[in-house]
Amino acid sequence: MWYWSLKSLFAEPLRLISGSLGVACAFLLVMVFQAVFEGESRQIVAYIQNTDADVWVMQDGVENMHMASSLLWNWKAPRIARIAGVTEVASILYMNTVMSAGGKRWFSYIVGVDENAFTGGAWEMTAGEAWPQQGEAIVPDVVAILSGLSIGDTVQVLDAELRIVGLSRGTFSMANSVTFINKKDLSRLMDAGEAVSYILVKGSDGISAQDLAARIKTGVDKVSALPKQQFIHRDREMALQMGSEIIRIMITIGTLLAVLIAGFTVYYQVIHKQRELALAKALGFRHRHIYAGVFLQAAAINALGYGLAVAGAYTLMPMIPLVAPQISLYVSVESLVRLGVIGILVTTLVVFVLARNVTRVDPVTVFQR
Amino acid sequence: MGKLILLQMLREPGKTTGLCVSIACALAVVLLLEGFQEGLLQQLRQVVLERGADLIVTQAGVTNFLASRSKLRQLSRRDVEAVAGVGEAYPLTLLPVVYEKRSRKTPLILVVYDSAGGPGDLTMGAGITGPKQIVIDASLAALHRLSVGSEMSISGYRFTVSGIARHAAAMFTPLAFITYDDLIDLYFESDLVGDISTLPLLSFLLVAIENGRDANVLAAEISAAVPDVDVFLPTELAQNEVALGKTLFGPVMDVLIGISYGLCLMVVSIIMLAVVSSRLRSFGVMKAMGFSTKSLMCWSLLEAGILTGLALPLALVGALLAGWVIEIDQPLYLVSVAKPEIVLRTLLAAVVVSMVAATLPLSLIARADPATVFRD
Repeated sequence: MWYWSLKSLFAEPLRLISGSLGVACAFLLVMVFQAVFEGESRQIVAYIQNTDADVWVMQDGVENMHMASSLLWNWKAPRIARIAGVTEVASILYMNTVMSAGGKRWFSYIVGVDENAFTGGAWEMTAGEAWPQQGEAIVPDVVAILSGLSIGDTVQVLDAELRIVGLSRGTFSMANSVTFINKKDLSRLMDAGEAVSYILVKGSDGISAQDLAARIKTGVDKVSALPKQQFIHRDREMALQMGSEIIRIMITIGTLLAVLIAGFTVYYQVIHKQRELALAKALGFRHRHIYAGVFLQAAAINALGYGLAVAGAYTLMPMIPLVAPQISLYVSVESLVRLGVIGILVTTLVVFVLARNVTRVDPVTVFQR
Repeated sequence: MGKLILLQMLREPGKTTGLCVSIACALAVVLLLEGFQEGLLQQLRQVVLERGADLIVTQAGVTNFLASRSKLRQLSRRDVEAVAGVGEAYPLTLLPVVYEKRSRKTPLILVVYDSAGGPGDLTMGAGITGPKQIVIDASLAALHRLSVGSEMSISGYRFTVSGIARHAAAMFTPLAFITYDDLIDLYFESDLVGDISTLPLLSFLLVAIENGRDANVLAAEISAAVPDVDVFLPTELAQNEVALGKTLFGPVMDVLIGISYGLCLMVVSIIMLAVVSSRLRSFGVMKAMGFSTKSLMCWSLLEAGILTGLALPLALVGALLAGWVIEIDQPLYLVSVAKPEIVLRTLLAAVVVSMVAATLPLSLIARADPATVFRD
């Protein structure tokens, strides 16, 4: 029966391929959705990840960067610098706003940096300078490509016209692309006075980030201090929570569609082979053998569909950024495996239930015309 | 031929229904994604328009509402109200905060208002009538199981939920409404007090204009009189938000919608392949009766068109139902499926998809042998 099942499936390659392609499209839809979500979630913490700070210090009560606003007095930076174990300190200002570039508007996190800071600026450059002087800006290379801008052109941040002096790499995402400008410029634009948003602290060898954060919290009044990894974890966790429900909905919809398509393909395969199944029953095959055959066909269609979807994902996803560089994608093997296991299991089981009418095939059919 | 196809469909109502439902499911996904995209844009538009202003004053250079940080001078209000034709300028402040309950963190935007610009459509409870009260969006209430009378703490300051608002969310972020008295208390009583001078106190001014004044003319007059502000009609600001939303979400939604059309194509292709291969004998009979291959191919195309045409209303109902379930389960999202342009666009695309899909089994039809009718 197993042999018949596979043989009859491969006897009509067009039907097998179209059924599997249908399942593949349903899986691919979910995979792209997951990849966009994971890509964005990773990109959200890219800035923090790429700074050379062990501890991030911010306004008391604030423990995030994404969707958060933090302001603290800048005199706290030299006070932190005096704490034992602290080797370097840099402060940044940051706000989210809409930046005009090349006639288009881009949502961007504007980070104000000091030109002599040990960290906090762009970490990889496509072209130009990495540290902006007053009146200058470092914009993500993706923004420059999509806006048709290059070094020497200008962007507008609030009411300030800033000259592009550098194009940074890895700083663009839909949720928080990062534009670097001089801290003095941003302070004026934000009317921030003597305030900064975050203080980035580098510790000496031999002291853990956890201990350093604790020392800073004890030594400086009304600040929140988090080791870099904890800060990243909190930001990513929040980003994941923001989109987890929509991902769940999309996985449900995608899986239901895969069920529908696989079910339909197997159902027609079975209907088409009704006479052969009747013959099998007439020859003494039991219901469980026939179920096993249908199960195998459903599993084969789903597995092939899933395989095509994975191949499609790995082929399509590197191409998407070429057409739409603003989309950050990340395919995690873990999520692919999870989707595969859930999807194939659920769809195969549902198809198995749907195909129960196979067992109702009358062996007499084989003798009918 | 159309009559023949319809008769054939009516002869097997169960099969026809099954086929239509399958196509409808695939089309419903397209409609859902289109509706989801439209919902994102509609939320951005609504957040601005629901503030109920004739004009909105922002910091100079700020062209958006939620997506930009706007900070106005405290005296801006007095300066704007001094312009002839301005009835009143109501202050409004937006403050992003993170609400955390049982280690689940949700970013939200606090909308601080005085007497205008507060919550619009309340589904439960009432507006703010006393101190330490807050009105929250239904999505926040659902996510953290908050209801009218629940306590919620933001930056250490305790509020009591007085009302739950519908559709007070945008950019995947719920809004919560408080008054200025509570904002000041929040700054003083919470952990933020040390740096209060730097905290945002005034983001926008909602201008009510006097009767008979032209909003565009007055906007220009305010801009001229108060140089450090920009003035927008609410519809302009809403358009800016929508344009930004399209830049942010458009590419990714286009990719997803494109894949869902691919999915649709596959579903209709499989169906047409199944339909044609199950009717090869009939096609053989028809060829024997003198039907040309070309006319049988037209049959396939027409049948695909009819099935898709029948499936579209089902898809619309399915998508509306699914959208309604999503909005009930996850009030943060708005799924606006029933927009004429979305339905029309999907209808046209569905016709193209069905025609393309119907070409897949054409080779089978071409190979259908009239002799099969005499076999078996």
